[in-house]
Amino acid sequence: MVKKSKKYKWLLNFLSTKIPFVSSFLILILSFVKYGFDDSKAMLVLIPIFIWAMLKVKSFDFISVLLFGFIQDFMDGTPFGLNIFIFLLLYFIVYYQKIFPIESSFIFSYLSFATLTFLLLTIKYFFIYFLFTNQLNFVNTIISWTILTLFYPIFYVMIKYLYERFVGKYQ
Amino acid sequence: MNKLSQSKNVKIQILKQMVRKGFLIVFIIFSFILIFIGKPDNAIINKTSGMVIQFMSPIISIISYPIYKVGTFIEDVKKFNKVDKENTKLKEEISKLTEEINYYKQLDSENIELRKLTNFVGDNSIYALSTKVIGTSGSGLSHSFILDAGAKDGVEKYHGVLVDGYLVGQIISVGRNYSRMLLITDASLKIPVQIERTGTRAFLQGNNTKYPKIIHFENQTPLQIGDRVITSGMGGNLPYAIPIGIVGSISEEEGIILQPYVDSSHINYVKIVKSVHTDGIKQFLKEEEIPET
Repeated sequence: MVKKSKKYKWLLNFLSTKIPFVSSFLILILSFVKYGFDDSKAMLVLIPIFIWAMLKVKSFDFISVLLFGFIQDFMDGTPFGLNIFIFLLLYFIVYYQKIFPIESSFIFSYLSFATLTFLLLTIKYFFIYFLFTNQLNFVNTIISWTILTLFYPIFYVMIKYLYERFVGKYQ
Repeated sequence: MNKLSQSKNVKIQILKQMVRKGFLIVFIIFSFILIFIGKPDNAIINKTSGMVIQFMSPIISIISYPIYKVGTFIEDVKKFNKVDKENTKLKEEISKLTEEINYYKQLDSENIELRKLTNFVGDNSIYALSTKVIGTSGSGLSHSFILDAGAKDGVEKYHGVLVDGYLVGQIISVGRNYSRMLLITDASLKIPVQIERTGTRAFLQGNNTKYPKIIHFENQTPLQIGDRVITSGMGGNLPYAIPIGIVGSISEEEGIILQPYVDSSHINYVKIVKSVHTDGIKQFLKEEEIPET
């Protein structure tokens, strides 16, 4: 009986460590699914990266973020390294900043996310604009950012639930 | 003793944190440099891109399936109300098209006869393969689709992609079973085109909006709104005379804007084509290469 509960605990612990990666990967894939309104697309994976980094989850390290950037770069066809750079920068800022207590309330985290993603998407836009082509439309960036901010609360609730129910418990 | 080991543990933890942070900074700098050196045309990047598409596509395909089914169901329900009207319209169109087909058949047989008489060899026939769109690009800064056909089906980089006979894009990377195409609206795609009425050659350049630009460099004959834009066949990758759209607007500020025949948000199935000249041109270029001494 003791052995069984030990095994069960170990399994739960193991699965809990994989939740941040798996959930982020699924959200990453959602960005590539064809819905029929393909002019409006956003890199939804920025949301879990922000939230898991904000919650300082140990099992979600920068290697996972690097991998997501790598996949996004190849699937997107944007200049290689650009999404890796954006993702890692987001992770770095959120994980290591100590000035703002962004995790203290939802509103605070929401505003931080909106500001940070706007800055990062603008950086991405200017990289493509100046280095590779001068034919881009900034409206696409605004649309992407709007979608991200609209979806943030939904994913926040989901990820927060996973964190409180599993990941945080067994960390 | 216990205190000593505890402080040692803390020190190790701090060191681990520092190493982790250091690595992260190195990776950020490295990815920043990579943006400048990792050009999309690089052979290694192309190969890796094919492998990533190959790995990701089945997963996207599985997740897309229910969403696609729900989407088509909604579309069907919407269409249901219009069935009667559409039916009458289609009947009229069928009788019109039958007349046209008879006329074209006549022209075709005339064409064959004339080709025989003149010993004409410049054939523009194409290789074609139909496939399904299974995914799309993950951000608004790129307009691309993932297709359910790859190298094993004969798909190669730069093959053209058609919907209902109209050009909608070009293959940009190929995996074994899957490939990725760029839409004509993508900012990184440039296609050699021709204005059908005047024969003027130009380039079609995407701008990540629904309406790409026509970069018009032969300025002899002025263009008109409504002029049909077709592929010029230059470069040998795309067959000649595939319709793309019409000249939608001409203005000094925005230039010449194309109105594509196909709205990319409604594409579910595509046809991949290549010019029969592609292999010939490749062979010719190979033969032209001067061996190193």
